[in-house]
Amino acid sequence: VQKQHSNFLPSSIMSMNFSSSKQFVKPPQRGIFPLDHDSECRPQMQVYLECLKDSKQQHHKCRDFSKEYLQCRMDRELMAKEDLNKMGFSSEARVQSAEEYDKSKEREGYIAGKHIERKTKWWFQR
Amino acid sequence: MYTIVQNAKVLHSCSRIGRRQTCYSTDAWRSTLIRGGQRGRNQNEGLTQRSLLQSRRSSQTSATSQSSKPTISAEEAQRRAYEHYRKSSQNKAFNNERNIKIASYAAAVVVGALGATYASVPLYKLFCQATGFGGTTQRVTLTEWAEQQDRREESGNSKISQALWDKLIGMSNVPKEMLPKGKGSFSHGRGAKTWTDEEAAARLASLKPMTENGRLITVRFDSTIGDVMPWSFVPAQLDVKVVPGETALSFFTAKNHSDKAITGVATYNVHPPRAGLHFNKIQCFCFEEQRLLPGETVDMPVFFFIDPEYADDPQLSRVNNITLSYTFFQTDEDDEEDEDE
Repeated sequence: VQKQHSNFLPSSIMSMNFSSSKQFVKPPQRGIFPLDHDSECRPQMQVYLECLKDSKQQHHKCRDFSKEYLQCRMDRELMAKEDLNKMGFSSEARVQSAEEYDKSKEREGYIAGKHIERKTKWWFQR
Repeated sequence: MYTIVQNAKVLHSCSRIGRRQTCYSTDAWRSTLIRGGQRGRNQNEGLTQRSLLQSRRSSQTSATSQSSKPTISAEEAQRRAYEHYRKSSQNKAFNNERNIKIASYAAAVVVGALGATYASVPLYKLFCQATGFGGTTQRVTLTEWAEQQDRREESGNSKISQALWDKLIGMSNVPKEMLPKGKGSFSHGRGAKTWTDEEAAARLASLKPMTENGRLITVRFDSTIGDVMPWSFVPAQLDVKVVPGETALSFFTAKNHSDKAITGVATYNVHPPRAGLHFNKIQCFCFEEQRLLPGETVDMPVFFFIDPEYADDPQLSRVNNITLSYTFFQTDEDDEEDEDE
C-alpha cells in the first residue's frame, strides 16, 4: 500500500521572515551530497576538525585536510568524481596569508556615519 | 443683524454657530444660558425684563458711557437673539433637515471605512508583489514543488502542468541561472551527477581568492530542528574563517534518537541578507529529503565559497560575520514495512 504523501509541507516550514530585504536562497551548484550512512569518511572529517581547532578556525591552514576528505568521498562513491583543482583546490588558489578584522573600530570608538568612504548608488541611480 | 452695545454694567458675549447666534449674558448674578423651549421661558423672560429695567436705570445715571450711535441696547439684542433661536428651534422641518444631514455624513463615513477594508486585500497583494516586502513564501513554494517534482516523477502519480510550473517560476525571485533546468536536475542517490549550470562550473574553476593579506570572514553555523522531530542536529564546528573566493568545507552532525526511520528536509538561511547574495554552496544536504534510520548518526558536509565580489560590495564593507543557519523539518515518518519515495 503506497503511503499517501501529504500535498503540503507542514505549516512549520513557512518560516515567517518579516525583513523587508530580499532573501537569496539558491540551490547548491552541484546538488546534494549523498548521506554517508556508514561513516566511511569520518576519520578524515575528524582530522580536519582537529586542524581547524588548532589553527583558530582558519580554513586556509587546513585546506589539505578538506581536500583529503573530499577525495575520500569520491573514492567511496559518495560524491561524483571531479577534478579537485577545479573546485578551488588548485595551487594558484591557495591563500597564503589573511587577516581578520581586529575590532579596531569598536576599541577606539567612532562617530556614526563618518566611516563611509564610498558613496553607494540608490536603486534609481544604477 | 444685531449690534451689541458694550454697556459699562452689562457685557454680552455672542457666538455664531451656522446661522444661529447664541448670546450669553456674562454679568455675574444674571448669567444664564438663553435656552429655547417651554420650560425655561418664563424664567428667562422674567430675568430679561428685570435686566432691562436695571440697565435702563443704570444707563440714565451714567450718561458718559452711552454710545452716540443709533443702536439697540444690549438687552434688546439679547432678547431678539433669544427669540430668533426659540423660533428656529421650534421649526421641526429645519431640525429634521439638519439631523438628516448629520446622519448622512456619519453613514458615509461608516460605508467608506467598510469599503476601505474590502479594498485593502487586493491593494496589499499588489504592494507585496511589487516590493517583495517580507515575502519568501513564493520561493518556498518553488523548492517545495521541486522536491515533490522528483518524488512525483518516481512515483509516477501526477504531473505538474507546465503552465503551473511556468507560473510558479515567473512569480519567484530565483534568478534565471539558478532555476532547475528541466525536471530532476537535483541530484540524488549515488551515481553520476551533472552540473546544474555550466557557467557556475566555469566560474568555480577560475575562482581565485586574494592570496596575500586577504580579508577573513567568519562564517558561523547555526542549526534548528522542527518542533516534534526526535533528531539532534548540531554543527560540528562553531565557525570557520574563510577568505572570499576560497572554497571551504564544514560539517553538521545529525542523530536520529527515535526508533523509527525519519525523513527530514533542510532549508538554510544566510544572515545578513545582503551577504546571502554572495554566498554560494557547491554541494550540501539541503532541499532534499534525508532519511535517517533509527539510532543512526550521520555527518553532513557543506561545501561552499563566498564570491570574491563580496569585497567590492560597499554595503558589506564592514560585515565580517556571516551566519549560516540550517533548519531541519520532518516530512515523513514511516515504519519498516512501508517504502519511502
